[in-house]
Amino acid sequence: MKFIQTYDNFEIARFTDLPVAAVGGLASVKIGHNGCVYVAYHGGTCLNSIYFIRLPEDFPNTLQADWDTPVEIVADTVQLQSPGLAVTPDNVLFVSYTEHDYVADTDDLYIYKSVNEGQDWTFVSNTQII
Amino acid sequence: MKIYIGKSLDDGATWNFEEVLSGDYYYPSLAIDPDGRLWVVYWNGTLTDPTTTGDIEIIYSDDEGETWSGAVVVAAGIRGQNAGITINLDGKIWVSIIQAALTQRFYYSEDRGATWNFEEQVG
Repeated sequence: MKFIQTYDNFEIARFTDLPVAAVGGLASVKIGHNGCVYVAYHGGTCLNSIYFIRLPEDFPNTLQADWDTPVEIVADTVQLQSPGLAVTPDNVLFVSYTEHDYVADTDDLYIYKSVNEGQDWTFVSNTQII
Repeated sequence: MKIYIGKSLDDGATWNFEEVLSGDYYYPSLAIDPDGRLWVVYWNGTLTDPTTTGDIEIIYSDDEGETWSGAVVVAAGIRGQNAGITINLDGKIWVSIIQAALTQRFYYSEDRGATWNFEEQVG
């Protein structure tokens, strides 16, 4: 999985391979009010993990900052779907994903939360949505 | 497929889901711009007929999902998958979509979604 950065409408674009990303996986990207870039994405060979990674806030100025070490938020034995990411104005991070029950044909929405820029994550809720 | 928007007022502990769109709508992605407007981008097409194309559309809500705008077409004639949306701190909206041939296409709007520009195709 590649992350594309551009600050000039693709006149110059930098491609970065996200660590431990799964082939065919999905990612959600959001920009924090502090200028950090946050990504939640699929990891694991069976898309069975959700990872988080942060691009520090000085990148837009230096163009040289490196990604932080990725954090595995959750790992499961089944495929996890639709990773999503949201950031509040005070930089509290929320990551969501769904897990499909193929017998009941329902989806469960899982929410995790971080209050320290994604270094640590706590489980918040598990809700059947459909 | 229907699109639902979930809303939580207690940091994600409990959720209330409301149906936003009902029809052939797929791959929704959500973002909030710096002024608090809630944006949802999705692909409007017939998933079960791979010979057809559809449109990437976007809608917004200024009242936290109580009411929604009409759809604006970001790009027409796309066989899309996995729409994504990211909003810069200056309000510039970026939309990405994977086209059927596994090329990633990028679009942007600098006037709060009124008009859209095709920017790049990768892959």
